[in-house]
Amino acid sequence: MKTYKEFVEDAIKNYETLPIESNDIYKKYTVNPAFDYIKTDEKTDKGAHEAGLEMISKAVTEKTRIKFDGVISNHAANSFNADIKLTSYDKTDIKLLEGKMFKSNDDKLAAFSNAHANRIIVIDAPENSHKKLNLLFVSNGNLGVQVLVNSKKNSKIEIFELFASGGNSKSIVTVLHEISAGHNSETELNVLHNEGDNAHVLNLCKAIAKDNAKLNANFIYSGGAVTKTKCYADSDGSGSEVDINEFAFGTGNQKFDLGTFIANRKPYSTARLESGAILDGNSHCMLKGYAKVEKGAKGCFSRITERGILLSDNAHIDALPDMAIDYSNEVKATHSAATSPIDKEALFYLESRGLEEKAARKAFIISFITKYISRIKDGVASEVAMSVMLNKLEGGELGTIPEIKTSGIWMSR
Amino acid sequence: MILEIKDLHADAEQRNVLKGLNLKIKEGELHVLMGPNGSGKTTLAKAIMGHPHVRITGGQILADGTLINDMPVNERARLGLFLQFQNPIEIEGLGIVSFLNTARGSITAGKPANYREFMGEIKDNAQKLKLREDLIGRSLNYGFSGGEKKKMEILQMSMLKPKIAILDEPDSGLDIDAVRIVAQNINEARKKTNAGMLLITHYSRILSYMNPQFIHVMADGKIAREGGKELLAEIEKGGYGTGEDE
Repeated sequence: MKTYKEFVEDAIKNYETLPIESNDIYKKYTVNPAFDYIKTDEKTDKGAHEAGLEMISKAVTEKTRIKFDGVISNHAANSFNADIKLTSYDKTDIKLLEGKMFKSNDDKLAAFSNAHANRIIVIDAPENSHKKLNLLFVSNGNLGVQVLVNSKKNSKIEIFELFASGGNSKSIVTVLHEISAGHNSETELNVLHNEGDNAHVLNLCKAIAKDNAKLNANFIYSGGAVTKTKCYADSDGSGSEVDINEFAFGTGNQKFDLGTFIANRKPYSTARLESGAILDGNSHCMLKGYAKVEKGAKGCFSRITERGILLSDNAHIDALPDMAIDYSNEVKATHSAATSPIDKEALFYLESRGLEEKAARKAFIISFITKYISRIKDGVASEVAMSVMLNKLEGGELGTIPEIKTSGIWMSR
Repeated sequence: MILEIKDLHADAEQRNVLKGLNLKIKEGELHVLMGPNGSGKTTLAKAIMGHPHVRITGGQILADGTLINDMPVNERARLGLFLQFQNPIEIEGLGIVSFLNTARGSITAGKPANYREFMGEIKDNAQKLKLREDLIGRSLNYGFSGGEKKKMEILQMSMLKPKIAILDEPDSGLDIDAVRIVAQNINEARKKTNAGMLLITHYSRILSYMNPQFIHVMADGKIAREGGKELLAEIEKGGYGTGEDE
């Protein structure tokens, strides 16, 4: 068995040698964060950092009215719930690292995460259990975390992760999720990225849903200078359902490269990907959805939907839906992509009901955002996500946590 | 309010559609506008409301004597004008209650509505229109059938209480019962608010439930025939009689 040191050395070696993307189209449409990673000094006063974390946690709790079960920063981590096991990476059981789904020798970005993660968070949902966990991630430097979720048979778990950070120059936030959704389990993962405007965000995810499992993951991106994602979600059990929703709201010079791969591997499975972006200024977003229907996935359903709204002449969206079907009978598979400016007929309609042009545009933008936020079933997570989006729409600073304003938001679900 | 249209000329999609149209509608009056396809009925409705793709090239649209040719769309709504769309727009993510609250607030510039009272009013209107209650909790017109969209337009009119409403084919695509229900609700809205109305239609069935005072037949961009209710019988019997291909 490898030692921790060997594990990291391999990860670094693979990070340096593996191709970042193998598909020619994806090579063309790729944005990468600045991976000039600087190892943060962990030898500072841990007690002071933990006290600082507690203060942050209290401040954010007051604003969001959310009790966080765990608060993690680049310097320290506190878990307030026994269901969340926190460990620093070098103290982690090497067996756990060996058994990871995202292998260092398969993927360059996974190798990067495996080499530089400072925290591993292990969340187990035992059989027949029902859990709801809220996690807060704050950083003023590089933050590398891995969240490993194991939902056992008949369990139900909802996880909300809120990321916020200051405007530290080129800090890198690397998050890797691995989710195993067991038989008949229900897993909802809601991740809201609201880092500062200099952060580079790398979000990786590998998820597997077993027989009749339901897996719903919602990724909302608001902050950060550059965001790159790579998500693999497999409907790997008969009757399993995988729903991945991702949404980016870009302003200024923000760049988003969202890559998600969904797969139907077993009969009567469902895999859906909904990607959306609304962009202003000079922002740029790539929506790269890929669906695979494997031989033997009889009676399955696969769908990719990509939608974009451009609010300025210089904003740019590349929507690249792709699909491959090995089994040709009894399979329902669709993909679509559409990008446009705000619909002028819709604006006329809203204005004809008394809304000023500016208010009509705002209503239209909010409706588009709501379309994605409303897919978050957890009411707390959707309220926070909507407040972060509204704050950004009003020109608020990235990275900060806005007051949660529910009055005036009568959301449609 | 008195809505007066004088010698109106307008282009739509680079085509001269309205060619000297005159019309006067007062509060409380029910006018019916009929005419062959392509005669300019919808263009007139859009011109009154200020659609950006309809360019007025001559004439006047006056609201209580004030020229509104170049008035922003939302200000026309605030004056008390309402357009029921022939093809209502679907906006996913825009909750109906939230939208109606914003719309009413914009038009009346009043205090925010009391949520409970406001919901009660919406539900009451929905019941009268036999509109499924669960639709109220959904996005604006999103996934609605053609008939549900038309009813939602009438619900909006009832909630926004305009002084003059332009109803562009409220009956098209509706089944027999729905036509009756929509007509009854239009009548009720008129009774409650004394609104003037211009109802554009191709069919006399909806008019059998109403009592219009003025019938106008449009052809080639202007009013070709005018009269009272007796004109309906003539049109039923002999067509529009405008000489245009119907």
